[in-house]
Amino acid sequence: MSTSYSNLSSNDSNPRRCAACKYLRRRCAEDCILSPYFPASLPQRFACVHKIFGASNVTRMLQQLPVDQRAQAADAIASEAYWRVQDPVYGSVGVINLLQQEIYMNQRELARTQAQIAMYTAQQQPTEVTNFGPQQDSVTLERTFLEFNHFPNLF
Amino acid sequence: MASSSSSPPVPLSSASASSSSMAATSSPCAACKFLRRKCQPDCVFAPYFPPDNPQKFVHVHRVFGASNVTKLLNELHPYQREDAVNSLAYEADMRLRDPVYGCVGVISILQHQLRQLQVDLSCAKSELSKYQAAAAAAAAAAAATASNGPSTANFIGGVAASGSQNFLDAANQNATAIGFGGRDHFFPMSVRDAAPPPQPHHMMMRNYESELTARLGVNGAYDAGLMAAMNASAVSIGHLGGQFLKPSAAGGDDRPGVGPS
Repeated sequence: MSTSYSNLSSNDSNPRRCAACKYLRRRCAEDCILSPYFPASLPQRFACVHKIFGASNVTRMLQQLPVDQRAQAADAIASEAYWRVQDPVYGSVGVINLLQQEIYMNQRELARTQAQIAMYTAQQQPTEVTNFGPQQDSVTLERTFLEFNHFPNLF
Repeated sequence: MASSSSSPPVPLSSASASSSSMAATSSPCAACKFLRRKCQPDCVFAPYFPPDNPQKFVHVHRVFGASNVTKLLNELHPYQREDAVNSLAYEADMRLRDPVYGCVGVISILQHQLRQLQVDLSCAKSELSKYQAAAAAAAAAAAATASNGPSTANFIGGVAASGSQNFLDAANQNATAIGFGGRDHFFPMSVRDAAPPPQPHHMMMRNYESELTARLGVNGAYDAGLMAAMNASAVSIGHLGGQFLKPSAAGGDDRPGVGPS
């Protein structure tokens, strides 16, 4: 213990200690697995991760991955921890649910817009409009409504 | 964790009494079984980790740790704990299936889908506006010839224009937008410099937008890096979030009920 405290006093001004080792009040080794992903400039990042996952779990998760995947994994873990801190009940699942609701709303909106476009497209079917005499107006109107019989549903 | 190893052995004379009392009480929960400890009557895990589903606790313990889960649950009201445990179980499952991205992979896929939908919607609305402009011009032309008497063109053009406008007014009330704010001081290190996605115009739904913006943070930038790095989905999305949310929380009427998985 005395060793760690002496290191603590000597490492207070050590800029190379990562956020994780600072938080855990331990010496930051040269090969510290957390230091590339939890720099001292982002203390809250590790604080969230430690609160939700714990340092040992995060270390183990990163150790089980190839080195080239650890950065993305650390970012994902930090994101999940952040969302869980913001929403302790649902965490990232709440974000998923919000996105699904947004997708649903946009799909409905797109379907509605496409139906409107279909209405206009149907209107542009070749129906030449000429100046009819008064005796034929009602017949022409009736034929038109029969041809575009889906219009009343929209109006 | 407290264990029963320090408790004194039960005398034989009271063994039957204790066994009968044990028979009357329920079996230990999955958490206490896994942790090999006595399941107390006030065990915080017992209501949410039944003994018939041991894998649920195994996964949660492997990712989060029992002590962290205990602390999380103790900070919540009892009525919130079931949803919290189920969401933790889901996150743990996703993390074990995808050790790199976990739940965030699902979120990135959904973000991509949403962005694609918004682009499609924007294109559809611009196309619709062209049709509306043409219809309005036709209606104006028909109105100019109305002095010759009622005509079919005037009737159709006028009805179509007014009907479509009513339709548009109803449709535009529910338009949406997603804002991706920036929290560069927190995330992410690998894609910090990526630009956020372009936003569609004239689409707002304040409830969802503000909540998503607050929750997603810099995920516009995050998504760019993730989508470049990961392959699209071996992940089943389905009703992922809905099964964990009570209808009051989800704000909808048709969400499935929440229950332990």
